[in-house]
Parts: sequence; structure tokens; C-alpha cells
Amino acid sequence: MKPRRPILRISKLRQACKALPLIAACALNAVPALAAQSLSATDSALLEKVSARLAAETAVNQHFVQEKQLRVLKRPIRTEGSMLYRREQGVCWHTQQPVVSTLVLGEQQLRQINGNDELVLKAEQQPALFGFTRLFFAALSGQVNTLAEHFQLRVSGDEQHWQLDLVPQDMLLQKFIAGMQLQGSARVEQVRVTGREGDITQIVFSPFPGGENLGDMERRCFVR
Amino acid sequence: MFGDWFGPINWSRCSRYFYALLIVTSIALVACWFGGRGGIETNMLALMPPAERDPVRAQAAAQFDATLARQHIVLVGAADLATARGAAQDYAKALCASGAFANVTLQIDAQQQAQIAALYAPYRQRLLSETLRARIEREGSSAVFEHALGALYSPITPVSSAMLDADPLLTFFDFISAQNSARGNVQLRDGMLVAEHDGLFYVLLRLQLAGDPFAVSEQERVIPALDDAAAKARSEGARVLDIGAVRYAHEGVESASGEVNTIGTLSTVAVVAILLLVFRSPLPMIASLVASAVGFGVAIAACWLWFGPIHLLTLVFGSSLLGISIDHCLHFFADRMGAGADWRVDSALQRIFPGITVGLITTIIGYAGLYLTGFPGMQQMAVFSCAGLTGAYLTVIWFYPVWIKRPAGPARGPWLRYSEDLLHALRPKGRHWLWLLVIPLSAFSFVGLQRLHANDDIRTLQPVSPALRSVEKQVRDITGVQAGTQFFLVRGATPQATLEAEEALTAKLRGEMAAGRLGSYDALSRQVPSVARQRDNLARLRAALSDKAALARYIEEIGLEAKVLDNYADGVERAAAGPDLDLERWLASPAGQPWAHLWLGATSGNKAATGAGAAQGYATIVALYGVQDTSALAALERGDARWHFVDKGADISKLFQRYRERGMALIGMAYLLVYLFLCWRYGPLLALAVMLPTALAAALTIAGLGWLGQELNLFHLLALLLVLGIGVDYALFLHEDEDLSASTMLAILLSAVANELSFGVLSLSSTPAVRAFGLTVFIGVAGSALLAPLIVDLKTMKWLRTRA
Repeated sequence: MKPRRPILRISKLRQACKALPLIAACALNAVPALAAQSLSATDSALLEKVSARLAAETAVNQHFVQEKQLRVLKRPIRTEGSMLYRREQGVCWHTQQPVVSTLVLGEQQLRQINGNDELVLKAEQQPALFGFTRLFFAALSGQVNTLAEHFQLRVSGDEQHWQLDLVPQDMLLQKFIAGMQLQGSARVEQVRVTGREGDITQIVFSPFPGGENLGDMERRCFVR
Repeated sequence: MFGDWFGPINWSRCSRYFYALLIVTSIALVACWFGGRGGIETNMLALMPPAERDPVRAQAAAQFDATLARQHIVLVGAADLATARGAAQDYAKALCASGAFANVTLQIDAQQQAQIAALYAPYRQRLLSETLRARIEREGSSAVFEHALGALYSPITPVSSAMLDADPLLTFFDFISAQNSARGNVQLRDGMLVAEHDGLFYVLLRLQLAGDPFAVSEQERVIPALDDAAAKARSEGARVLDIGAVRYAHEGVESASGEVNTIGTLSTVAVVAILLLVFRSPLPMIASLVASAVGFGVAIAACWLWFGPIHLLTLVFGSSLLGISIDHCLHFFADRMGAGADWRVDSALQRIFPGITVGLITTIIGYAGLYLTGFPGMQQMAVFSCAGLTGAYLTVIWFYPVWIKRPAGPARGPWLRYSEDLLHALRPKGRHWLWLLVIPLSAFSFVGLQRLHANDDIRTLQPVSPALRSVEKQVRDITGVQAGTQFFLVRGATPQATLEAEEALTAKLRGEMAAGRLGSYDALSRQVPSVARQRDNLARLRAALSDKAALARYIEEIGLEAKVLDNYADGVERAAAGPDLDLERWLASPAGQPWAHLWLGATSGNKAATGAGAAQGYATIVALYGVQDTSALAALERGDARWHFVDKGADISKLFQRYRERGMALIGMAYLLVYLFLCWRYGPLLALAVMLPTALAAALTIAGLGWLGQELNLFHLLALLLVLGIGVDYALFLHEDEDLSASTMLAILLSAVANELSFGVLSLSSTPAVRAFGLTVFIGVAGSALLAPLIVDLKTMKWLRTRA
């Protein structure tokens, strides 16, 4: 028999442990942008425009493909589904492949729907998870102001094809996320999250497929 | 009449008893002071009887209180986060420099968090979050894989390679995520706890007091430190809110000590002024002050000997004692003024002795009623008052004879004549017209009684200023945390049995949470599952891993390298032989410290109170937050003897109700006792006549409270006991004085005025309990004094005279 490798690799475990408190770290509400952004005048003008354009959307329907590339996995974890954003109601993340599940983030609660099971998390019960989810969905739906509070922003390109590079400012967030990249035009079209250990999560949005019944999905997400 | 028991007394020889009393009192005072029994207690809770008869429950309640009492919450707010953070840092620095606090927590150290996670790591195969466990119980061991897949597919789970490598089923990740200590609107931002409210950012600081917040010395150290640090932060443009038990305690002491001064000064000044005005000589005033001072000394000595440190509120009431103890002096000097140049001290004492002695005894019977309530605060006041009154009484009969031998000067003033006139007016001239009063008074009382309602809610008796209440509300609104006074006490024969009981309880609590009746809870077993639960967790993990087909499907589905799971499965097998996460060790670690207050440890139970089964054991607290439905939670207590629902606020209110109901019985008993005592002296009919004015005054008082819209509570009833003690004296003095001399009437009027001046001031108190007390005595004494002349009327009734 070949000698076994030590089962518990302390260094990796420590790394894992360090990553855990991050959940607690990500927390935010929609707030005015912090002033301390070092943007040039043209960049800042572009950012304004992009931000204004994204903020003008009160309802967004997208199809998404998410791929998580983790070093220990032979192939990326791929999920596919639809995202609905309604300014007044929140974000609905409806995964269709490989399993069907729905996640709805409202103002004060997070609903998780798996088949007939529905789990409602109130913001006050799970503030950390709630905060993280908000941050994540802020990126997906392009709420630049919210992002600006936790990340340093760099904008490039033009109004039709812009790219936002985000570097986390928050100490604990830095431990986990190396950077984030948003690309788009009138909407966010692609999101790329780079982890500290080289893990990459990529989400590509495409127009909402015509075949699906939007009304049904809206009801499932936003009507209780 | 009373003197005949002892025969003629040689009053001047009694002075040696007085000197003995002085010496004994002085020795007692000095001995207590240096022996550690002396001092002043300011903790309001010390006045309360224990709400729990069960010692473990009492200990749990006390520990819960003590933990809460030492915590202090500070919010430093500003329009932008950077300013708030800066101001909070300066605030924390200022507080640390002051040294007034044992602990100032501003930054949450990321390193420390990692340490805590590392502490759990060796036991990670034994730890499952409560949610995941419940799911496994429901759906079988395959739920482990489904849960992991769900987490991997979820857009919001921050999974990294390192995590997946060490914890490929993400069970430990799930457990640690559930440990989160932040709650409410408070969120961790860059190492600080931040809440956002109304456009402002608030940084939260948690302070821990070094000492007892109810100790005045601690307040004197803490409050200025807080205020200085806040002033500095405000100068930087920040807003500061701080709240904690020490603020309430400080406010209580401030207002109470302010009242000691006000009540003491006002009643002393007023009484002195009246004495000077009536007697036109400083001697009665000085002599009264001497008697009161001796009474005060005896009272403090008695309390220290009996109870140890005396409570501040006892002193507040004690300061009004002056008003009652002065009665004896008043009779003495009124007699001296009335007799003119022929006055001799021996015969004077012989005249007043029966009246003041019977008066003292009836007053003491009234106060003894206070003692029987079993309310520690009331017991102190009873002992204080009885001892003080006796001290003043003894001064009059033992010391005055050797001190005041000369008759009063010729200047008499008009007051004696006024009393004479009043007596004349009252003296019946054929018709007993005074009796006509009784009918409308009874009607008035009857209607008033209908209007009276009881209210035992502790909150209406708690003296909290609107300013402090507003801070309390703001802190609650900003943080979104409603710190409750409700918790579960969980008990078991061993620490493990206790944790197991907790696990059974929290399963039910999660049901209440799901139903929206409970916000959340804190329990040790969530942090450290019982050994049984740990082993069961491990067994469930092994069961899941032994399902090779499911395992293969999982590996295939996410594309995990097979060796990662092999390594993990080996680790789980090895863990089976490894140690369990130990409660005691965990409690001593940095991970356990924030939860240490939930652990009550070994308890020595009271066999008689709890039955043989729970004679000795261990106990923990499960703290509850955001309770929406108290009765549903209280109902969980039924059906399992291992836990009890404790609701501090409601318990105290219930306690007040119990004592109020007991108080009613006590009043009845005290009146009966006084009556029996008077019967023995006067016979049943005359005794009834002597009692009648006070009894009528008491009825009038209760009715008056009803008319005034007061809600009846324990303190009104306690005051009624006092009314009995004081009020019966008036009729008694008039009765004992065969000749109905003007000097007796004058003494009674003066006494009533003095009593009103001391208790009348109490009804101005800012403490609702004290106010209720003062108001009751105010009405009762006025009624007793005004109705006392009924006895004059009564005595002339022929049928009563012949029968008596």
C-alpha cells in the first residue's frame, strides 16, 4: 500500500477557516457612494453615465449562465436560469439547471424556494448572509452606488461597452475576493469574480428567452 | 391610667437608662461600621423579595440580571461612516484611558475569528448546524449531499477551493456560518459593528463594567468617564447614545438622594418653624431634634445589626420619621405650655405617659404589619421606624425629666386658646351633630371604592425619566435588537444531560421561530452540541459516506477529484476514535467567553422546594430575543420538567400582585390586632369607638384614591398600615386625656401638621411608588386628625358610657 498523505492539511484548513468569517464581513445596505474614489474627470463622467443608465432600469429580465471554477474541481460548476430584477420588489434568481430552485431577495427578507419548500429568512435573523446576498445582487443588477461603498471602482471603455473593475476595500472582503469585473452596455452583461486562491466565478447574461412564460415567473417570484 | 401599672415612677432616676441606651447605640454603630455591616445599599433589586422560591431559578435570574447589568452599549453615529469610525475610535481610546471599564470592545479582530474557527476545526466531523441536522432527520442521510449541492449551485454561497478541499460536504462551513453573533440591524463592516438608521451610520461599542453598577462608587467612576468621552466625540461632530444598567441605577440614586435632601430639609425646616411659632422658645425645637437624632441613631444601629447595609430608600422614608417621632415631644411641651408656672416634670410625664405609650404600641403594631409583608425593603423600613420611634420615645421619658425641669415662660401665644376654642366647638351641646358627617362620608367612600382598580405592572412603578427612555428606544430602533427579560432555564443532572435538554428545547423553539412567535435565541448547545449529539452527528456523516452510490453521484456531479473525498472519508473514520468537543474546555477558550453567561454551572438545589429528583445538578440559560407570543413560549414549559420559562418583568408584577393581595389581609389583621390591644385596655365598645375615626379615615383614603384616579398597588396598601399606626393615636390621645385639655388638642393638631409636612412631601416624589405611599398617608392622616374629635362626641353618649 502506498503511504497515505496526511489527511488533515493544516494550512489548507486554516485558509478555509480564514475564509469563513467573510460571510460575516459582507454587509451593506443601499447607501450614497463614499466620496473617496480616485477617478479622473473623464472616468468619473463615464461612471456617472453608466450608473445613471443602469439605475434608470426599473425592471430587468435576463437569462444567466453561471460557472464556478474551483481548483479542486475537474470542471466548472455550471448553473443556468433566469434573473428578474424589479426595483420595488427586489431580485429573483431562478435556477433551472441542474436543479430547480429560486432565491428572492426583498427589502427585508430572503426567500428560498425549493420545490414546495419555502424558507423565509428575515434580515434580522441572518444579517450576514442577508448582507452578502445584497452585495452580490447589487453587482448583478448594476447598483453602482452600493458597490462603490465596498469597492474601489475603475471604469474603462465607453458608454456602449463599458467595463467596471472592482477592488474590495473592506479588509475582510479582501481576504476572500481579489477582484470583480462587470461588463455591459445598457445592462450588466457579464460578471466575473476572482477569488484569492484563483477560483473564478463567471456569470454571463443574455436576453430573456422568448419561450418562457415571464408572467408565471414573476408571480412565483414576487407575488405571495 | 397606664402609669398605674407601674405605680408612681421616679422619672428622674430613669436617666441612667438613657445614658446606657446612648452608649449601647454608639457601640453598635461603631462596631457595625468597622465590622463591615454598616454602609448604604443602593441596588433597588435588594429591596425586592426573591421572585423565585426555587434557588436555582433565583440564581438563574440573578445571573441573567448581573450579566445584563454589567453590559453597556454605546452607539457613535455620524452622517458618513468614516467620521463615525474615527469618533468611535477616539471614544474608545478615551474610555480605555479612563480605566473605568473592564472591557471596551470596538474592533472585531479577524485574527480572533479565525482562531475560533480553528478551535472548532479538529472536531469538525462532529459538528452539524441545527438546520442541516433537522433536514437529515427529515430526509435521510442523502440530504448531506443535496445540501452540499445546493450550496455549490447557490449564487450566494462563497465557496472556495480551500474550503471544498478541507470540507468537501460543506458541513463544517455550514456549522460555522450558523455561529454568527451579529444580530438585528447590526452588521460587521471592516472589523466594526455598524448599524444604519435614518441616514446616519452608527458604530457600536460594547463596554463591560468592572464593578457593580448599583454601587455608588462605581457610578461615580463610570458616569463621568462616559460623559467625558461622549463630549469629545460630540466635538468631532458625532452623535453618542449609551445605555446600560448603570445609567438607570445612577438616575435612581440621583433622584433618590436629591429627595433625601429635599424631603429631609423641607420637613425639618417646616417642623422647626412651626415649633418656634407655637412655643415661642427654641427649647422644644432643640429637645425634639435631640429626640429625633437619638431615634435616628437607634434606627440605623438596629438596621445595621438586623440587616447589614441599610438601603437608600429606607433612609428616604426614615427622614420622614422625624415627623412621627416628634409626637411624643409635642405632647410633652404642649402639656408644659398648658400648665403654666405650676408645671412639674414628674406629674407632666405621669399625665402624658399613658397616651404616648399606647400610641407607640399601636404605631408599632402598624409597622409590624410592614415587617410581615416579607418584602425586604418594607422589613427594613419597619425595623428602622420601630427602632427610631422607640429611641425618640425613650429620650422623652428617660432624658427629658433630668433635662427640662423648669416650667415654660409666661409667653404663651394664641395657639393654646385656638385649640381651646376648637374643643369647645366640638364639645357636644345636646346633639351629636358630628355623626351626621358619617353618612355622606360613607356614601363618598362607597362610590370612590367602585372607581378603584388595581394595577401591579412594575413598569408603572419604575422611575425612569423620559430622557433615558428615549435613549433606550433610539438604541433599540437603531440596533433592531430587543433585549428581552425572558429566558428559559434548562436543568440536568450532569452537564451533558443539561445540553441534551437544551437540544430538546431548542428544537421546539425553532418551531416557534418558524411560526413567527420568536425572533431568535442563544443557546450553548448551538455552539457546543452535547456529546451524544456530537456522536450522532458523526454517525450520520459516516452513514452518508457509506452510501457509495450517492457518494459517486456527488463526485460525478460536481467534478470533484476523488482523492479529496477519500481523504475526507478517512478523516471521518479516524475522528470516530478521536475526542469530543469538551464543554468545559470550550467555555474557557476565546470561543466560549462571549457565551459564558449562559452557563450557570453546578447548582445546589433545594430538596424541599424541588423534590428529590432535581436535588442537585447543572443549569444553563437559553436567552430569547424578539418574543412575539409570550404565552406560547410559556406553554412550552408544560410537559417537560427539564426547563422553565422565566419572564422577569411579569414575575415581578405577579410578585407585586401577590404581595398586594397579601397586603389586604395584613391590613385587616393589623386593624384587628390594634383593636384587640385596645379592647384589652378599654373594653370592646370603647375600643371600637377609639378605632372608628381611623377606620373611617382609611375607608375615606381608599375612596379618595379612587376618586383621584389612582391605580391601587402594593405601596398604597403599605401606606394604609401607617395610617392606622399614626391615625389611631389621635383618637387615643383625646380619649386618654380625661379632662380634654387644650394642650392635648394642640399636640394632636401639631402632630398632624408635622406628619403631613413629612409625608406630604413624599407625595411630591418622582418615584411613583414613593408618591403612591405619600399620597395615601397624606389623605389618611388628614382624615384621621379631622375625624378624631368624633371620639369626644362618642364619649358623651350615655349608652356607651354605661356599657363601658
